[in-house]
Amino acid sequence: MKFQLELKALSDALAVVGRAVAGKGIRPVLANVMCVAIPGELKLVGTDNEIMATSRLVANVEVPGQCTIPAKLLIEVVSSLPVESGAEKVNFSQLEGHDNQIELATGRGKFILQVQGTEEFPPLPVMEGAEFPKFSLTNEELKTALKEVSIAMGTEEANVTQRCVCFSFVEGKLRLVATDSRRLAVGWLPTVKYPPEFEKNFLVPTRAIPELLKILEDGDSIEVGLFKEQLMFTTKRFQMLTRLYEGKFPDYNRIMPKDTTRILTIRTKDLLQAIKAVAPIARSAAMMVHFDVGANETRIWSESPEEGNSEVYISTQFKGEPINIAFNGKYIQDFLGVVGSDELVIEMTTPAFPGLFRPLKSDSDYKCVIMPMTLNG
Amino acid sequence: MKATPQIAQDSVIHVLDETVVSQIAAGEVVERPASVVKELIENAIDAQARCIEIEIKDGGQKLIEIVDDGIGMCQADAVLAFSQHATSKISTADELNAIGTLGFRGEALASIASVSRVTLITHREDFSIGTRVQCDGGRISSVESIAHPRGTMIQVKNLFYNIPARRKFMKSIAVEMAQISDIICHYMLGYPELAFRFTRANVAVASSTGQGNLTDAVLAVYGPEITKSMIPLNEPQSTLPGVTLRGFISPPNQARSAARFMTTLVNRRYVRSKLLSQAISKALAAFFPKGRYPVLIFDLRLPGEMVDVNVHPQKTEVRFRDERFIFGLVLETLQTCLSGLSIVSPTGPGGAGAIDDIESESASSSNFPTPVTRELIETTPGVGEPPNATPEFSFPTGREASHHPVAPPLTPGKTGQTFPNTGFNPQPTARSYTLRPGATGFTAFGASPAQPGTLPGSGALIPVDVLQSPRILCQLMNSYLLGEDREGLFIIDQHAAHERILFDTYVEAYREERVHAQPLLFPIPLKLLPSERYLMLERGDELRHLGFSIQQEEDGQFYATAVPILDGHSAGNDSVQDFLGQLLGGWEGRTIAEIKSDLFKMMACKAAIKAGDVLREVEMRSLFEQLLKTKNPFTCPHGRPTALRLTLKQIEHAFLRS
Repeated sequence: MKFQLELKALSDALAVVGRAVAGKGIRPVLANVMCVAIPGELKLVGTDNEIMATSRLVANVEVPGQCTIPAKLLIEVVSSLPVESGAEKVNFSQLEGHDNQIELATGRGKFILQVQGTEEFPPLPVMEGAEFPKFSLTNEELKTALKEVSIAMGTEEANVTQRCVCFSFVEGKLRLVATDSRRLAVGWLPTVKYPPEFEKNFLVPTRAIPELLKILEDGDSIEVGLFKEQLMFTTKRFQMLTRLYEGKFPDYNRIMPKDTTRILTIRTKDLLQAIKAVAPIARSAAMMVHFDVGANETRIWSESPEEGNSEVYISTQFKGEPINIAFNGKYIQDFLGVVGSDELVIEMTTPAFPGLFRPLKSDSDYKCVIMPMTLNG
Repeated sequence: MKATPQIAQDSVIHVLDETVVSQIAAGEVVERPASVVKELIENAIDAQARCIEIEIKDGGQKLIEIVDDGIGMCQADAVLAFSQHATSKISTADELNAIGTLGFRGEALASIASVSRVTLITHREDFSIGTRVQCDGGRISSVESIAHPRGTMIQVKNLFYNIPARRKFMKSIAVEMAQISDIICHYMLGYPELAFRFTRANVAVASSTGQGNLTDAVLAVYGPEITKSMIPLNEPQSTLPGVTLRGFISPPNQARSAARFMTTLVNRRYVRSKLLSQAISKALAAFFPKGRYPVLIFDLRLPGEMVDVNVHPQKTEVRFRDERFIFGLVLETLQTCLSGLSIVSPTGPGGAGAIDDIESESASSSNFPTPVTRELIETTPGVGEPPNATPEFSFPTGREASHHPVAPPLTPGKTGQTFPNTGFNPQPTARSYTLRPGATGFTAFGASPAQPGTLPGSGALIPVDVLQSPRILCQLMNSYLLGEDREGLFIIDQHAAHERILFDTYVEAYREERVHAQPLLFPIPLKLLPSERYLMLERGDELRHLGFSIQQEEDGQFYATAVPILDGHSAGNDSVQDFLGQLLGGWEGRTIAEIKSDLFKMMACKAAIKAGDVLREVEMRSLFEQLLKTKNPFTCPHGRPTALRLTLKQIEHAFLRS
């Protein structure tokens, strides 16, 4: 195997592919990046058996071949090479008589790395000539929706619905839904058109979300394909295949607050400021932040037997009977971080019912449902 | 003539009257309502019943009613059945050596009748009419003919009405009910071909269909959640004729915090045997963390002459003729079954099989490739497959993996075989042992390398009780802090230390306060046994103070609708199930304060840094300082040491420096 390619391209590709490999030595070969050199092209693949990221790079391939290289080592080596003009090249060549060693050389530096064969590596999907349903959407739209829902992703191992983002294709609309059972976020992609094969729920592992956000930095549009019961995301330079979880995502429409009787409108900046102000005290009270909502003004306060009290008044608009309700301040902060609107609306029913948080602007259908907190008894 | 009254006057020893004798005997057989239920179910089974209905009121103190459709009795037998040692099950002493029925002592009914009011209605098919016998406190008060369908109905009312002392020792209705429920569940599992219907005050509690399929019985007792993950036990091939061992076990990632989910049946009799427990815990030790137990159904059948059940009137104890054989059989069966799962720590520089590895990995077991799954990936075809086939790059879900047939036991020739280049080794304990009665394999188990705590020289480390001008040196294996003080070296378990710090913080913060509750959008369905449902129904409200909110839906399913939140960490699904499981195992007699302390322990354990977390120097120092500020720094909330010491003397001694 022998090839040459641009250092900058290699290091960009490794920044994505290298993140898809498995950590913690689960299966040694999965900590490696697979390199496949075919005439004119180098393909880099990283997978942890949950997601698989692939990058195809233009390369000057003299001798085709393939091997796997420990990802961590390769990334460190490549990132340590100096980039000055941006046009530096890297040469890879297999040492003669040493199948398990590869030489990596730039103008001034040279490394010899131990590599492994590809027999143990999971087989790569064969996509050439394969027909499968797909559609395109803009990176910006998907990125916004992913950020909006990622705040509500859970980490619970035992519960599939809390370890995934549900890509819900219903009646021509695509919504992303995530929940950790304490809150639920629904992101909306307004302009998406998709083929009928997609019409269902796909449970994408949370593991795939940061990687997906990473490849969304590449180019302007992304193609979403349904390839053998896996979702495939393809940008100009990258491709990410993700396994889907089996299971049923709960019907989130069922828990969406309906017929809310109390509607509070707040300026995002004011609420952010208020939460920031009460947070130091709230931290020792399980982040419980109280809202005493009146007609023109809301008192936002927190108290802790150890630390003391804090309260902030902000002017708000409110329709409905006054209410005292408490939410986890951390969840509100998370929401404020992604809401992207100057004003927001909190719809409430009673102090025991979930609150519906949404931006005021009419061009977004982003929704976040947050369970209130209570002091039981 | 004169002598006789003389003796009667002076003598202090006399023969007890029959009622007292019965009551004393009853003390052994009838300990509590659950034992009555057990004896009566066994009678019904011995009478070849196909369907057994059990009705309980007030935890069995008011009424225990068992109706079966067995062979029934004629009038003479029905009356005789109430006398001591009257039985149809054996007639000669020889038959004691190979008992084929559950009962044989002929004392259960007599004993029960002596401490309660019993109504027996029975009808034997070849007789034209049935019989009703009423017996109060051991004395038959009426015998009459009555119409009744084939079979027997026994009602036991006012249990222990004539023994106030025993009545005082009865626990609450909920606890007695739970015990009864457990007994019935054991028999449902032991006799899947019988239909059981268990009601409490005429409300159905549990029932099995009697289809004869063990899976159905497991489903009836434990519900679908648990059933679908169960792995069948396959006995080794090298066993003795007439000996079989069947059943199911849950995988380590489905462990429970109480041992009551383990049903051990010997010749279809529910037994508690020390030997079996030892063999089981030995087999489980390598797979389940300490204090965690599987759901286990374990059905051992032996030829009658290999086992002696005539040990205690309750017949829950047994003796085996060849203990080594039984021990080996149980151990090997469980180990092969569990190691077939390959939830095994990878062999690496760190060595294999530590309990901690299993604990941390079982948490992420669904992402954990095993030799089994690797096989799946490799054998998946590449090109030209139909679009719906398993994709090349795909990974079976945990569910699929657990449904994969269990790997066959390793044959002696392949002992220690490794899966090439995967870095996996079969569990070291999966070695094959010869299983012949009386073989010497017994001692080999003791030397099993997977046993924790047998490291040579681990005794050299002693728990720390005081530190003098200590300072932290570095982190060891990302899990321990090494430090020195005037005495020498000390090692701190970072997880245990952090646990102690958090626990103290929680206790301080919430001593008087109520715990905050985090209500859930999607309530957590709780996996409860029928017996646990009672406790939950009666006492679930007490948990409100701890931030829990438990609700029962119309279909009987319990849900946690709110969970406690401490320090920003709310309890996860697993922790909630764990905590409630533990709590339900020993709720009786515990105050809410004690339960609160358990909750803090659990929450502290979940929130604490784990072994394997890299700490920066500042973090290490801060952790150490915080630990020293706690009131009890050298013991973790679970009672384990947080710090161990290797003194300078020990070090010098080992280096042979004088």
